[in-house]
Amino acid sequence: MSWWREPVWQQGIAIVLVIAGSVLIYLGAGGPGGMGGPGIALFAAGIILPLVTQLRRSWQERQTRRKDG
Amino acid sequence: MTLPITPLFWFAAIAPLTLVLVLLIGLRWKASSAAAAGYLLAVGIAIGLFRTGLDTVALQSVKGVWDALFIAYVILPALILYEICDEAGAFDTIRRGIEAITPNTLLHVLAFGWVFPSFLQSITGFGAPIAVAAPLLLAIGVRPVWAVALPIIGHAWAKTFGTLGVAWEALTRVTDVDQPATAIIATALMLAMAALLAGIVITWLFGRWQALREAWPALLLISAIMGFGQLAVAPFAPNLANVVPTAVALIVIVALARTVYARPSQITQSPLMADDAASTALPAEAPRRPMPLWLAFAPYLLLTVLIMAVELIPAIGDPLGALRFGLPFGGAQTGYGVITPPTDAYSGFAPLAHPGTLLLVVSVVAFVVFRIRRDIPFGRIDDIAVDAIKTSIPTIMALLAFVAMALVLQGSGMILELAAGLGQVATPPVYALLAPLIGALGGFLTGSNLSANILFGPLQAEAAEALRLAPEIILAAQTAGAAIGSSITISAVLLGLGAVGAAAHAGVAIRKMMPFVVIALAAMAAMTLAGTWMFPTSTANGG
Repeated sequence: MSWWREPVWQQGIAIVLVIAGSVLIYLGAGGPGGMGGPGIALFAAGIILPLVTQLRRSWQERQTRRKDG
Repeated sequence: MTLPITPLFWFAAIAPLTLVLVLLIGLRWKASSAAAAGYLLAVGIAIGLFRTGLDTVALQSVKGVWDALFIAYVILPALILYEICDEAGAFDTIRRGIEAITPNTLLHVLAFGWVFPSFLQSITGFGAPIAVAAPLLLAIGVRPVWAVALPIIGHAWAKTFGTLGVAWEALTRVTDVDQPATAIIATALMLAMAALLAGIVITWLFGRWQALREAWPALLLISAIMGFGQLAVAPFAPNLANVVPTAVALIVIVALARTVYARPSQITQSPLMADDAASTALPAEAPRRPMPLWLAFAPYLLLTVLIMAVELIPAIGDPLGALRFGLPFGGAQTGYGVITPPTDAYSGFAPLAHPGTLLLVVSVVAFVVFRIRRDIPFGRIDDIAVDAIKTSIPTIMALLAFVAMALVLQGSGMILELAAGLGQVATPPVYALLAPLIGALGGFLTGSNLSANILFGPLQAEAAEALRLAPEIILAAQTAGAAIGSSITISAVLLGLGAVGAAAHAGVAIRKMMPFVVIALAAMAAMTLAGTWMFPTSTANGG
């Protein structure tokens, strides 16, 4: 299995996205064009990633239970 | 400010927190996923209902990330130190060594779950009491979840006057209390009750009535030293109100271990302890070279000494703390006029005096010493580092989302909505009962007794004046409640679980602490009600 498919490293990627997004938001806040989309997009992607993983896991568990039942 | 205080807004304000707790405790989701869901809901409600601009939400989130990173800066080094000590066999030595001093496991649990973290809280904070005490409890055979829950319960009472009294100082600055002596005595009494209750709860958890029968002399003596000691010192030196009594309590508990509690506890099976306590600390490897007890303790003793030196000795702490930086942030205002003031240096970070740096220094020293003694095999540093990073990642992710959520709740006015809503519907006696709960809510959401006092102190004082309740008593309830709430906050639980590599059990740990929280807040509510009857409207009358 590729390292990035491991849940723990996926969360590691999410952390990097959130921090990178925060840096861009902060730097953009002082600029003339406001804080801009890229920072917010990266931040949101980082927050959503573990949620997507959890929902996928819950869905798979439900499917497994349904098959077993 | 035109923030509507209505049932719709109130329930919307509490929805993100409710969602996190339901997902975490009810559905047993991982903390990072539950926190992410709570954050997204908070953002939606902030923008959609509380008229908060996207820029305000984004900047509050960045502040949350900034705060979370410095909590993470304690977790990762704490975990590295834990892995180093575990790899070297130090925890096994500690367990055997402590059993040699006294085989009484009940006293071990009280010492490391109650007295020692209280002492650490008195001089520091920032999660250090949990990060240090949890691995030591694990070493003596306590189950991982309890190894985190016990010190959190045990040190909660020491939050207000702990960290050299900063939370108390903040409360007095933001509220301009007329009769600080009454407030300080009321606070110390409520916290003394919490100290006794913590000891009783930990003992009860260890072995129910039998444990209480066995431990009552120690419980009463230590509680009296910590509780009445705080009460005696606080009016004269609030910043030392915890340091002095907890240091005395540490000495007394060692004396008790050598005298009254020198024999094994009569309770042989405790739900707090791992089935095979030895297996918790013993790695499945070949027998090791014996390690002296002092050396096994040395990393955590060195850490305690360093923290004390930085916090208590100005000649050391001042120059180290002089290098300090924080991010400047502009102010913001929501559509309902909730203002977030601008700041030149948000949440200042002193890297040389921060517990994370001290933990890193101790980790390096411990690794070098254990490596020279060949307690750690050559080449293991890579594994230790990778293990520590992998274990801390879920905790750090959860922290980022949870602290960002708390800051969004704050910036959008949702936390104000919660407190103001409770204040608006309450009659004076009901408000007296709710005051500690409001403090606890602030502590739970901000993760800090200090922040909760700054956030809710003025509001509580204002409500007390309006309802003709003694503000001194209400403010005592605020800070005492915040002490309890800030102890059991999700970030504190994650920090502890991260330090012992058990991040997946946040929901379980919170559930285990809930009975203590409920009893402590109920008792504080009763004391507040009694206090407002005994001191009717002292300040309202110009007192």
